[in-house]
Amino acid sequence: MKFSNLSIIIALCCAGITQLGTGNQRILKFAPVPENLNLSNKTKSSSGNLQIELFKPETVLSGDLYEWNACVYPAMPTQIEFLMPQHGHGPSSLPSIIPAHKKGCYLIKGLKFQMVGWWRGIFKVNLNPNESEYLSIDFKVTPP
Amino acid sequence: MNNLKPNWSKFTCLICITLFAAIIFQSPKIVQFKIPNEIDAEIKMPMIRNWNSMTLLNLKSIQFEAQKENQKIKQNNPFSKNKIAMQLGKLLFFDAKLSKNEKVSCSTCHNPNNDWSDGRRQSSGLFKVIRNAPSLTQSKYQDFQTWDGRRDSLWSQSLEPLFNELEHGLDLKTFEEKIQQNKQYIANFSALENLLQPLFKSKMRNQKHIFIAGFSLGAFLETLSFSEMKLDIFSRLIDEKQVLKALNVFTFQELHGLDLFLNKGQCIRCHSGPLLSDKSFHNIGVEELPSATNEAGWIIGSEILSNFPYNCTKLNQDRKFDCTRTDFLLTHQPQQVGAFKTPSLRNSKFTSPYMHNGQIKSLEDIVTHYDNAISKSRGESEIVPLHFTQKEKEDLVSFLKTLNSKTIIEELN
Repeated sequence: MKFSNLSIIIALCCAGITQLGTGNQRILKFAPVPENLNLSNKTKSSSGNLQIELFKPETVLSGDLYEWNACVYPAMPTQIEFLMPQHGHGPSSLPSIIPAHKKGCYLIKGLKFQMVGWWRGIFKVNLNPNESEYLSIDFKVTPP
Repeated sequence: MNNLKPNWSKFTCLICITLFAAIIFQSPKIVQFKIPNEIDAEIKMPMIRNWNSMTLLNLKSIQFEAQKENQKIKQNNPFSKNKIAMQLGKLLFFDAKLSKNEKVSCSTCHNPNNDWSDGRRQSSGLFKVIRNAPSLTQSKYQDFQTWDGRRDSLWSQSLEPLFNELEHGLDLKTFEEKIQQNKQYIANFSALENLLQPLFKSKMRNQKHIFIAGFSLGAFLETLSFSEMKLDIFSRLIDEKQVLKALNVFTFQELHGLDLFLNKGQCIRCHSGPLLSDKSFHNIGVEELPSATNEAGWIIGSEILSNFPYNCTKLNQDRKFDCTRTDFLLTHQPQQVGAFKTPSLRNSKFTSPYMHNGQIKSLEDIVTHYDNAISKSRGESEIVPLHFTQKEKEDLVSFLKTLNSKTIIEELN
């Protein structure tokens, strides 16, 4: 690890900031809501080679249990998790995430968001055994 | 002679009134009289004028009556709403004979006069325990019971203290003997035995009286509810666009406290919905008890629940009850370390001291705790400093003290 990277990490730790997620999709705990929060259900990678899509209702209510679909184009093995950046934790349930019938798609069952506000779905797309790319989709959870 | 003297004070007063009336009638646009409510509203209005749509949605979601349909009771209790079970549950709840020394009843720690709590820092049955007794008023709406979520139904939680050596201290044999000594218990237990479904009967075998007691205690606790409080009325009036009336509900200080609760303090994030609780678990950095070893919170509670043979998922394989909360139970996650259940804020004025271990004495101290956000717990605290002024702290406390209403016992009345 380069010295400059190490010093950044030490500085972040000293400042009491905790990182969530890994790789280049880092989320800082207690991060303020971005001013222009992109609430699109689709995201492309910076290279444009990868795209993810989250099939969810327009309104997501706190306390409700959801069953969503998510797809990665082109199909790649992917791990999906959900986080609330401002509080540094995930949902209050442990959803089951299994491959769906369509290749590259996943069925997410038992997803429950306990708090209203800004949430983020993080997709860790495994390009090959040694390389992953992180993509995310932001959404808002509203009161019932 | 005295009677002929002019009364100067009356005369002066008459002149004043005449002049005053003349001013009013001649220039009505300059001198405007306002009724007290209007003056009050004018001062208060700027506070709520800038509330955004999310704040208004949060406020609307608090109304208990409007949200009652969404607050499904998920207690997987076959005796829910059964009158005999509710009556039996009430008898069991207040019966001190159901303890080793015959001096401890459920109401020892869950006293109706303390909003079904006990006012102690840590509760005491036969011996002192490490937990603060939570109010039972809204427990039927919670997804998980106890501070660390180790049970997913009121009925199964109700049995815990009976057989805990620090609380009631009973064993199975003594419990059975005590039931057999009471004629009313024998009659009620026999009547309810026939209601047990074959599945429950086969699972319970020779412990059926224990389960009948648990289901009945659960059925009784499901009768507890609360009446409307100031915040419900305010929320309803705002929703109905009766703003002027709504502004009359709270004093200026209380309304400012509500504004802080919804906006700057973001208390509403966790204390949301009709219960003023998100029914989930959070690490808020509460200082641990020096002697307590069981302060790990939800990470332990969820593991205990997943291994509990009578949890909703395991007991109801025919899917008669909604068990999704337990089907998708979160376990083994770092966020669960040091996390305890978000308590309802309804009637919190009467349930001090606060937190799972009673470490915080007053509402004033709670606001200071959140304002400072100093973590003294294991795991990682979620809270951040709020930078309140002293006046803001006082106003927030003033609002929190309005969150009270009368507890009612439904069905049994």
